[in-house]
Amino acid sequence: MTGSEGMEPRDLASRWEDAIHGRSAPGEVEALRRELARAGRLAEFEAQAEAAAAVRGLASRHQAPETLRQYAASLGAGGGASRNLWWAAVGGALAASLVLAVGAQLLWDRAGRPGEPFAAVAKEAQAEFQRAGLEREPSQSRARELARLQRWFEPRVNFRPLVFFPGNEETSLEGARVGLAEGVKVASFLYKWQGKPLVLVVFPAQGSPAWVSMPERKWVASRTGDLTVSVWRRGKYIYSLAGDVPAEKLRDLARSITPPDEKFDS
Amino acid sequence: MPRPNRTRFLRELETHVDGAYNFARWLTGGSDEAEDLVHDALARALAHWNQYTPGTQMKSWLFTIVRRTFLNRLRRGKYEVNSSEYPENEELLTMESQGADPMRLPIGLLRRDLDAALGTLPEAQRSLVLLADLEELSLEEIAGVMEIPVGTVKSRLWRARHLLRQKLAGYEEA
Repeated sequence: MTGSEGMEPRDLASRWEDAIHGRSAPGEVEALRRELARAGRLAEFEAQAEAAAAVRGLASRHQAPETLRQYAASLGAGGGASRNLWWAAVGGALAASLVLAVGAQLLWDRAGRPGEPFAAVAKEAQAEFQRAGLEREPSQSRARELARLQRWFEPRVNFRPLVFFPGNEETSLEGARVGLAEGVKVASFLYKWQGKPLVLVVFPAQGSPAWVSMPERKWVASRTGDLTVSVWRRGKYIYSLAGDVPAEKLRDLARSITPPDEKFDS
Repeated sequence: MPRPNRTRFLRELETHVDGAYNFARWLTGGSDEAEDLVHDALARALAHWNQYTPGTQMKSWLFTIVRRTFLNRLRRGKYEVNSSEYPENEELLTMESQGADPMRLPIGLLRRDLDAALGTLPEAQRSLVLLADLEELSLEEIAGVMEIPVGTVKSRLWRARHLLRQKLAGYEEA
């Protein structure tokens, strides 16, 4: 059918869409233009084509940031079988032991047996450590600049985590990821200490009734298998640092992570 | 029907990250928000990868997830964007109702002007124009992404371009 008589306007529109996007058969465009001209509607349709061409030729095309590309690439890397080398030190055994350890008895506790709020946060930190370890690419952002990572978190977790430790010669900042604890988004910073993964989780204290009641500053640590988890609170944030690291070392690091005048109860 | 293959799925998904990000950027207006949105959309796509039918349009499938994720967040008040929706029971416009368009686009139209004019369109109209003219999806694919009938896509797209031209004419006057 080439004539416009008896043809629904939508048919013309569909054909015109194909024409202006180069999806028409040869000769179809000219035939269509003749039809439209006979119907006195060519200018109207050309105006549509002009707007489409302006968008196609001028509208900004935003390139995906490298972090997003890396994330997408990591989804397919290894077909789901391989684990990121960054976490190789964790090992499958530790990951498996963590599955069993979540909620298990806390074996080491410098400040006495931690209260319920501390245990709840430690449990979430353990789970977050485990989740990160099981990801092929644990970092969602590989930026290593602390200020940049803090800005990166703001739109993702609705707060800017207050952290004062950009890393040093012994402990490097490797990236960050958004974690989930009790259904609340939390900020996880990924460090490495002497090649061993360390996860710092920053919780908004108001995020859960279990967290709100946590006392200010008190620092506790617990050890389960190869994993040490420390927990402390500073104002509106609760921090948890977890890794296969001696508790004393975690304590030193914790002092660097929160403001310099921080004094831990112990 | 070909069997779903996760590796092939992920490889193809990766090729659409730029397009998905661009769409998300136009939806949200911000780079961090767009990155976060696509991140979530990719995770959702991966979670439902076996629902994808090999050989069909992955690009429009992913765009559908991006837009659904965006609208869910919008309803939760996460974004402050121009999100005017079409009124309920809107009578579909016919092509004739638009009439001829006597305006000419400004000669030497600048990208910033076009971007600004696009940015002022209501979200649904902006999405239609972008999907049709920047991403060059077919009307059927756009209908899938926008979750409206093809006929509605045609009439709304027509009106969206008309509105865009009006806004661009305004830039010339300015």
